Amino acid sequence: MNMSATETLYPLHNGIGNMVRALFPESAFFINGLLGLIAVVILTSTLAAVLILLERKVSAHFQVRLGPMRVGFHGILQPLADGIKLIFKEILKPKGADSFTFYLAPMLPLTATFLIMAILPFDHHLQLADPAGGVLYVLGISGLAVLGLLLAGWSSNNKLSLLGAMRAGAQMISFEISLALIMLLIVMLSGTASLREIVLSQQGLIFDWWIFKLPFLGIISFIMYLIASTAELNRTPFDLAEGESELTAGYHTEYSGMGFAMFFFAEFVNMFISAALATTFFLGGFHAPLIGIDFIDPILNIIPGFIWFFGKTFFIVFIYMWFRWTFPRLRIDQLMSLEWKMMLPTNLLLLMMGAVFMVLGWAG
Amino acid sequence: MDSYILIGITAFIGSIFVGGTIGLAKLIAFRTPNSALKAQPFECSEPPIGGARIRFKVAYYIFALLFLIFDIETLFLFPCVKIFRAVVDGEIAGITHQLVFLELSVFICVLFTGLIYAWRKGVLVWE
Amino acid sequence: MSDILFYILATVLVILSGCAVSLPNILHSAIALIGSFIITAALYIMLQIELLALAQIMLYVGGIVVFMLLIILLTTGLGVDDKLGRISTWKWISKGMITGLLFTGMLYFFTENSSSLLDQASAKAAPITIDQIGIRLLSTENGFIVPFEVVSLLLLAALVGAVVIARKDAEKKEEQS
Repeated sequence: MNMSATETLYPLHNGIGNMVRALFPESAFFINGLLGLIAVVILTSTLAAVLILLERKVSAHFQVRLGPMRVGFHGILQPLADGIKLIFKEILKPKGADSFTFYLAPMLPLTATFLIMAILPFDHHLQLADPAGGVLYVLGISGLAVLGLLLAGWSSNNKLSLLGAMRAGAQMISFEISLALIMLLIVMLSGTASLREIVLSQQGLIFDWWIFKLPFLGIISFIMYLIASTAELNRTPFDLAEGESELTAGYHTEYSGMGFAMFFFAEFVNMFISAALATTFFLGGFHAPLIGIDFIDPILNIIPGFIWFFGKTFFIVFIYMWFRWTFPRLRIDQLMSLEWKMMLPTNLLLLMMGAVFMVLGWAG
Repeated sequence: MDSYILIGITAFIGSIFVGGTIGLAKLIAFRTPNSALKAQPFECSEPPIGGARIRFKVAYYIFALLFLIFDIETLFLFPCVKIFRAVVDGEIAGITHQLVFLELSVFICVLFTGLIYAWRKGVLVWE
Repeated sequence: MSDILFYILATVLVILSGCAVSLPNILHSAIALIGSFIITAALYIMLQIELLALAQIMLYVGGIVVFMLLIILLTTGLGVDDKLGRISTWKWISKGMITGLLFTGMLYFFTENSSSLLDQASAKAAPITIDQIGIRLLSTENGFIVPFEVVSLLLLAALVGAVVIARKDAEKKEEQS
């Protein structure tokens, strides 16, 4: 809790941060932290709205429809209207539901998303906190989301909810292993576990990003990350937990109004977080894609880092949405054999191969 | 460590924000009179038969246990994997990269054997 | 500042742990357990051992509690309706006395040996980084290289045990049918 030591470590070194530091040198740490925190809360809420609209628009255009068009220009205010509607809706609690757990469960996933949003490196000095064990932190906090959904399923006193929750829980814990092993590979390659330093380890040209770095290994692990994170997000083609035709809505069947909105928001912001982590681990984070040509690179460098970050992230979000309209849903036995018989052995093998490449000196 | 002060504050304010939103919605939302039908769990509009907390099959237990084992494995591998680059670059005295590589190989191979055993015994099949 | 924070966290930890063993509904106990695990992680952070705190969150909150929840859900409909039996007042008193005796004993022990133990703990220790733990785990001299490998064997044994339990269940079903 030594103030002078905190300032050097603290990653918010942008214009506003420095101004606060100049004005209030004593309490700059807390003021900056508070400002950053408010920014994260606002960003999370806005992102949820943007992503919900994006999902609806992308889905609509994949099906040659227009999607929401009535509220605002091309339906741009639709999420706002939905939000107002949701806040005035009654929160129903079914008979026999466990009150305490029923209201606690929707709070866990969204709190978990706030906690992960706090450590994402949006730009060089635009990151609320940067723990040294950031990768483990991400893995640990994502476990909270699993808890939230298991509790939601159990407390609803509904068979469909419980079935959905159990399926989602089994699926998410299975694919978390794959995600953890892929993250371990990146930790091994970059030699650090802090998200900011992982991004900094990819400095340089586009070929220094981990996706292109190792001979074929980077691209394979990137694809595996996409598959595993899609499953972790419970999105199609892995959306067995809320397969509409079998389980109505899965673990949040009994939730209405704001309780439902919490799950819904967390789901969408989690999609952004997964994409942002993919950007951080594989696509060079906030670095511009420099290609080594003298007259193009300066132009690319003018664009600020956070625009590159959001650009790359939304590209991956688009890929997730693309998956949804391309692949049919898997059966649960196929899902489990995909994880335990294909992804897990391959991931262990990839980790070993990464170590071999490091020893041979092919990993840069 | 100072990151964690901010993370702690984030957790605090985040949960207050989330709880506050639900509380606010609970306060200002429209209400309809309570009825037996309203409180009935939604099972596609059929009246539910029996209790909701049904029994599940043992497969869930097996996969949860497997998850736990590989979770612990990840955790043990983590510090070793993190110093691997420094070891390869020769920044850490007293540890050679051959040794670390051997250690990692043995650790992963032992668990791989376990996975293959489970596979051969057929518990990885979801019936 | 950090002393006050420690006392607040410790009080909440004791209350939550008490809830975890005494609540009639087992799911509520599990939730109290989650809270106590998270606060333990916060205490580790205050001791500046980052890896231990993250392990606490990842393994206990993300792993073991999820596992326990799945187990609770797997057992026959343990819902709100059939709660665990109430513990009688007499038992409460006797258990409280045993706990109090142990606590007093520990307090006595630590205050008697304060010269060696308390001073060491109260001195501001340097943070233990993940790298230090990794080096210690892998170094041949004064390290834990053999225990590290034994851990993998232990995990293998656990895995084999799990498989055996599962197979036994399947065979029993075949016999019954």
